[in-house]
Amino acid sequence: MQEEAALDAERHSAALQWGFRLFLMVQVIPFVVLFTVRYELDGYYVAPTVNQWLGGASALLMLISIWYAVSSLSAIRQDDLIAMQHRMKSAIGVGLLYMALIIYEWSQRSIPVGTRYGENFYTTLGVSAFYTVAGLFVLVAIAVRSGRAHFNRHNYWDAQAATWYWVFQGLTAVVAYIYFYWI
Amino acid sequence: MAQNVVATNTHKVRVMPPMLRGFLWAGIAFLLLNSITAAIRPDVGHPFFTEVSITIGWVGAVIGWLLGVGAYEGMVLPLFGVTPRVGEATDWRRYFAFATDHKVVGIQYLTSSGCAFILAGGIAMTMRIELASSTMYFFHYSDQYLSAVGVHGAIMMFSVATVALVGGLGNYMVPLMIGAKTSVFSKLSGLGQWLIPAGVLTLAFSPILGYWTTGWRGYEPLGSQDASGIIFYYLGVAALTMSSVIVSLNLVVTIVFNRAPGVTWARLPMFVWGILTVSILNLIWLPEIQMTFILQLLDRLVPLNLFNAAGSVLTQLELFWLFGHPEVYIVVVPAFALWNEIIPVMAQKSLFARSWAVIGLIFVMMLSGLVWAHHMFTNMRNSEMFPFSFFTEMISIPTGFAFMAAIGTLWKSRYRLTTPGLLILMSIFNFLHGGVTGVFLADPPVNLQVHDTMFVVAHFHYTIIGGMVFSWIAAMYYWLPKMSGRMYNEFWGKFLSIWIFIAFNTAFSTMFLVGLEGMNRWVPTYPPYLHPLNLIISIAAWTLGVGFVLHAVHIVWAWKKGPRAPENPWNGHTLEWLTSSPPPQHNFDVTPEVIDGFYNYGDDADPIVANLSELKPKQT
Repeated sequence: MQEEAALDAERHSAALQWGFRLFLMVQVIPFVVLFTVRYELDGYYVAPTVNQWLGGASALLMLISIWYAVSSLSAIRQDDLIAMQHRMKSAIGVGLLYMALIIYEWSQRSIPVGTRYGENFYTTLGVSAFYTVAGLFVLVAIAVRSGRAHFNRHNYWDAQAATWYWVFQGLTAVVAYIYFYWI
Repeated sequence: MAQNVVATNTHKVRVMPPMLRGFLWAGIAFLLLNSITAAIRPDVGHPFFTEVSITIGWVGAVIGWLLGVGAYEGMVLPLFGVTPRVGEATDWRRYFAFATDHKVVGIQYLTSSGCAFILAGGIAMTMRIELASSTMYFFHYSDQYLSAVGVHGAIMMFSVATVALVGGLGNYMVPLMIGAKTSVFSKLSGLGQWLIPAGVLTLAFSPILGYWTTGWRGYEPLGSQDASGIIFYYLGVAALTMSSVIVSLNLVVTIVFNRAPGVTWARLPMFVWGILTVSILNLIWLPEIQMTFILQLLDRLVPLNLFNAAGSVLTQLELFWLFGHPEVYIVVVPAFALWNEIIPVMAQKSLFARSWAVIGLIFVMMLSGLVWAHHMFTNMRNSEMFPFSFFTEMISIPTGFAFMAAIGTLWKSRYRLTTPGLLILMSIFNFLHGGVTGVFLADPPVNLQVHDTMFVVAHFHYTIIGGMVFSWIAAMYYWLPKMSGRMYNEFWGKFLSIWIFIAFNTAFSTMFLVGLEGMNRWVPTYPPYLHPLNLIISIAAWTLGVGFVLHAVHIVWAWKKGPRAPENPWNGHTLEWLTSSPPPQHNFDVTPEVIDGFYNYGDDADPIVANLSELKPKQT
């Protein structure tokens, strides 16, 4: 009976992981639409006023945040809850810095909205920022929950899902940066 | 005030009814976010309601609605590690709140879809009242008529055709048919159900913000020129498609991981195959159209020039039909699967060419993404039409596999002409006409001749009402004894089925003729020579509408008051018939161990499960 329950739990865990990966694959599709629309309307034109250094700094912050999130997952796999919490909070902090840079860049209005490039720039990066905000909400929820849910190396699925989502949105942000600032 | 069941056994906690709380929280969130937006972003003239403010207010309202109906206790508090004070209700109230039991969610979806069907059908009746005369006499302005067409089409497509078989019967039946005790992401399906009322109400009330003329397709540049009602079209469709995406995700993962031992891919029930293929289509194409409509919404609100007359209208058309044609298969693939689910049972004969029937479903799924541009032949060069014409005609081959399996099974069988059996035959007959006229439309010469006429309207109503809705009603009668433990009245079931069959074919076969006579779609008035045929269509359509309502009344009556049904009234072999009717909370006391396929009948058929004696159904 216990063996059957263990098998069920193992299968349920595999189902959750597979399902979440499927969810993330599905979330690629909206970005394919956005990139296609940009290509259809504007080809590979990049506005000369775009600030590649500022965009680069944002992308770098996102990569650092991803690293913190992944390392927090590694910490809980080694049963180190305190390290996991610290690194998760660092990921959130750097993620907030990323959002602040995005807001600062947009407030400069170096890219006019009323141009082909500008409308695609703001829609795609805006959608990406929406995913980032959603990711931050989930990371905060997991950080709060980590104190109550007793995560350990056998029980960390929620933190894993949040991290996977954060990595996904981070990579889309970095790809969007390359696509809109360089290509 | 009603009570929900509390989480503890020691006392009860009085709580507001979840739907009432949902409405309250939605209203508060709408007013709050609308007010904040109006304060931050004052538009010219400082109106309290602007297109931007109602959009943001709507997002808040939907979140408030979802939290209010129970997602707050069911999802948000657990996410933060807080144990909710109130658990899920266990009595009839569970049908009016966020639920995680796949059977409850399935019934909620069926109810939502059924109500949406009656609502959108009622709007269709007003359209037929208008078209019963060649001059305008019911609607005052043509835009009112076009808004009615759009609301009817959008509600029918996004909350009935796409939802009833997947969210409704899929949620209820798939875990039972694969021998699972639950679905994997049960909370997601529970949440998705409550997006349906939100989306339907948004669409139904959209004309309050101004008439919109794009139909269910959101066509540009019409959308960018329409009044503000088009915004509620985008938002309503966003809610409805999100519901289908999350349900599809749950069902795919459930089918892949929660099958009972022995339910191999080669033994998977036909209906489950249908739900799997259509769920994959949903997961691919619904996010695509969601993002397209979000871009159209931003076009409107910011404003941008992506798809309006100053942008690329053609890009919007391409993006819409990339989703739009697979949508047709999203609607009918589960119907194909139902044919071959029900026919072997009613014939008590082994399913003919089962593998080919499954291959047909898979190839329809794959080819459906290669045919979209046949909707745009009037926008294309001759040379560009050929591949789309070719693939559209090719898709009739895997579709034919579903017919082949059905006819092969019927061949020399002693088919039981019960109500579901009869309705399935009617569905096959109807879809044959919809399909054959689809092949006509795939040919550019015919397509260019009948483009935007009522011929096209008749064609797709033959596929969607004739194919999907008839199959849906058949499935409701077929599984009614399972879901309710009660039986319908066979006389009334057959009588009403013949009623809708005659009314449907009278209405829509005449619509082919009126289209060939030159009547355009999207017009509330027409030349007087088309009046007699239109009057026939209107009378038949009203008769059809009444027939559908009577079917609904009959099913609801049977559910509550019908005679007790036997444990397995059809002698079906699929696993749902091996548990009580209605099934217990976790479906099976013992997990079934399947050792043979579900569609083998006859004297030489082997037992299907190894532990049959342990699975003996108990009447509840």
